[in-house]
Amino acid sequence: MRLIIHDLSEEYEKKLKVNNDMVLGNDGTIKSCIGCFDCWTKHPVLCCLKDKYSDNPKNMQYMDEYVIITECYCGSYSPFIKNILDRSISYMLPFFVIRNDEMHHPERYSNKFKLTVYAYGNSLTEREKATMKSFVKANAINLNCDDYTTTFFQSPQDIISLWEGVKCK
Amino acid sequence: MQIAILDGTPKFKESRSGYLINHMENLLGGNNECHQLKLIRKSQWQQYYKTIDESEVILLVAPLYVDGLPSHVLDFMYHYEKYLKDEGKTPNLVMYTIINCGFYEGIQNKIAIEIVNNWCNKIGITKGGGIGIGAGTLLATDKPIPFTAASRKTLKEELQKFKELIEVKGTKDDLYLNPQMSRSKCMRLSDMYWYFCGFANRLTPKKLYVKRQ
Repeated sequence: MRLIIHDLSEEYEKKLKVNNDMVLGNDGTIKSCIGCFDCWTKHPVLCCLKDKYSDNPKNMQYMDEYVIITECYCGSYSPFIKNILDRSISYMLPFFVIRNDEMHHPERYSNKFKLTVYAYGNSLTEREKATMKSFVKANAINLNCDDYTTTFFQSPQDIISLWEGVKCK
Repeated sequence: MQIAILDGTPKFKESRSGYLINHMENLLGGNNECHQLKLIRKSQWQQYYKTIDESEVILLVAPLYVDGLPSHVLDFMYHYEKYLKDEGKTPNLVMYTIINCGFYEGIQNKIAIEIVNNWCNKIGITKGGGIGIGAGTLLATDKPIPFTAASRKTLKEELQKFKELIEVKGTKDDLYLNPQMSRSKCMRLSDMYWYFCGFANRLTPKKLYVKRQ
């Protein structure tokens, strides 16, 4: 199963879902992470903020690919996408292990997935692209992914064109 | 000199970032006018833009979230850039950054600081320098003990130097600090911290590992 999170407008959302993919977009209702860490220490894997994004950490255990479609802002994910990621930390445990000779969080669940990031932006600088690539790599290490890719596009339409081309195969 | 201190923690109280901000404000406050701007208060942003307009320096202090900046900090940066474009303003500012993370290695804050540096380039302000602090979880939120502890001696010294740099609006390379303790000790203390948080919520260690379906 693929879990697809994106910050595209509604007109693009309909074109993203294939088979039993889970798709989460921005309908303006997401609540901002409050940094309480209750999802780690009070009711693990449950976010205390109730909206349609609060089950994301639990749903991540079922996926074999995590697809993120995001505007690249200064080398980061867009604020909306980052909010989903911030509220999904309980997919991992709060404790620490050594991985790649650094401290990281250990996995809570046994599934491993591929992290696929499609980042778009008009006139992205090489520096922004380099930061974004490092960011995705760091996330992949922390999430203990078995593979990761980052691809850049000028606009959301370019991503959808690629997506529809792949769907037809 | 007026300094806008951006508080990037999503917590309303008792945060490590808040502790670092209070420490920096104590260092800087003597000769300067410091304004703490809590970025989680989105309704105040319009007022914050005006405070920043009147400032010469911005100091962002934030925790590392999922290897980057917390989402509301990104959101503020996004909206502040839009404010500058709509008003046709080109601010004359120098930006400094302090990011702290729970991991031992201060360098794990590098990406967050790079994002801030990219933002400085984007909106045309001067990048003054950044500090990435490791083992931020082990900074107390309400007790001043850590800065007197041997494990934080270097941090205390570097924050003093940072204050001196800010006061002359100088620039320097970004710096990453580990605590002065072994990584294994840091891991044990950090794990214990999370167990204690669980106990405070009446959860046994086993319950912290639950795999909710």
